[in-house]
Amino acid sequence: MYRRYMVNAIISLAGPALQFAILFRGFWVGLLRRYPIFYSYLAFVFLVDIIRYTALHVIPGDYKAAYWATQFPTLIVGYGVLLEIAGKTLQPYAGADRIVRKFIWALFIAVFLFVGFQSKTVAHWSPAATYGELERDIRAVEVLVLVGALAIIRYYGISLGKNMRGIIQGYGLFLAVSVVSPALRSYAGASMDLVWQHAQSYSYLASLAIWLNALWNYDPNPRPEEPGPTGSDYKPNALKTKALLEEMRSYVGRTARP
Amino acid sequence: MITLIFFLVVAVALLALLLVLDPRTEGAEGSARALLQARDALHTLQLDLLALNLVQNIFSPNDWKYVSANAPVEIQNLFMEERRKIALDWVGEIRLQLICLQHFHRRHARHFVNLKISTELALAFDFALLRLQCRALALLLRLRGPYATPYIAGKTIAAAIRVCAISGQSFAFLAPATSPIADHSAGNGAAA
Repeated sequence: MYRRYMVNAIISLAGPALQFAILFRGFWVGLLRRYPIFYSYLAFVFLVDIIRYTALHVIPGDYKAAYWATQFPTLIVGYGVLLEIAGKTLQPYAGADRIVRKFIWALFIAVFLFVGFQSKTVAHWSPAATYGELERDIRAVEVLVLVGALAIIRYYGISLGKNMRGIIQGYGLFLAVSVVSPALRSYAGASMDLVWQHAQSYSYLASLAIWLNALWNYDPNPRPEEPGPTGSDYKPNALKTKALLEEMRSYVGRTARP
Repeated sequence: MITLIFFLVVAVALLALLLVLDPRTEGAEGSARALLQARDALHTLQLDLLALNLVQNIFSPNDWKYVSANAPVEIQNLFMEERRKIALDWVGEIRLQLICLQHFHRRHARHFVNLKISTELALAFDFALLRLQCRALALLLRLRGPYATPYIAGKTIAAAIRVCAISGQSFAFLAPATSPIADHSAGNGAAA
């Protein structure tokens, strides 16, 4: 019992301590102005943690209300982190940047249309049965945005510096656990409550450790050597690649045919 | 249950992508090296892999006719096995050079402001299909050998001639990035 209490105390103190360390280090090496939205997010979460800790000890009866009142602004600021990831990573690559922007907009429009359709067609519809489900759904959209952006980053072989890779890995890990834990909880019921809470706490600590390591010094994304073309000659290039492919396909195909 | 599966799938997809965010897997940065690799790939395809005499040597039945008429069965088997390996290496090398070309296209295309998603998807599909065809060809060679049908050599030679002609277009494809390399390569292509 005492040991569990100690572990919980260490975990609850380790989070703010790591957050403070990341913020202090970011200020010290000048990373705050390099990644302003990410550090704003972290500062906001740090502030929210203090508010919640105070609420838990001063007004424990209203803690739940305080939790949800602070949770949704945190979710919204989280979208800002995604936009910063996409913006900082893809800015030198106009084509890839354009695809990601279109993907993000298409996803948001699809989600809004789906929610609108549900609200009109399903009787007694509400955004979610619980706040937990609503948080899970919002996180799921964040995960989809990040998956799309990472798939494009991977497809086009875009290099990441240690800073951005760390931000993505830390935030991605946190998002993945945030999506899966409530889903498991809603499926398995209250028996998963403790697991859900611990999984989120540990994953967030792991994310903080990743961020502290990745953001210890400034290590930007490598810039491509060539300047980005204006874009006027994309279509001819794509068509030439396509023509070459067609010929090679017919070549290989006919070679294979008896 | 479906909801749970959906959330698990997106989370696993995200974790998988995070795992492959390794700088070592991203290859060389900068178009200079990529351009050289692409030029080498085209050069290899045009002058080596698709060269008429090489294709003829691999798939022409003349060698086999000679061996089957003058050598014992053990030597015939050994010859067939060796020729099959060469043909498989040839297809594998074409596939590798194709991958190199695709990498170059990605590195080149990512900078274009007016990049079209539909075109990129179609190209990605085409590259995947051609690579699949190479694998199918390799399977056919493995199962039936290089002399399984009398038409293979003729078709290969005819196709090789067409692709050599098309390779000229691929140098134009490289031209917008660095003209000195393109000019040099064009000279090579003309010589071929």
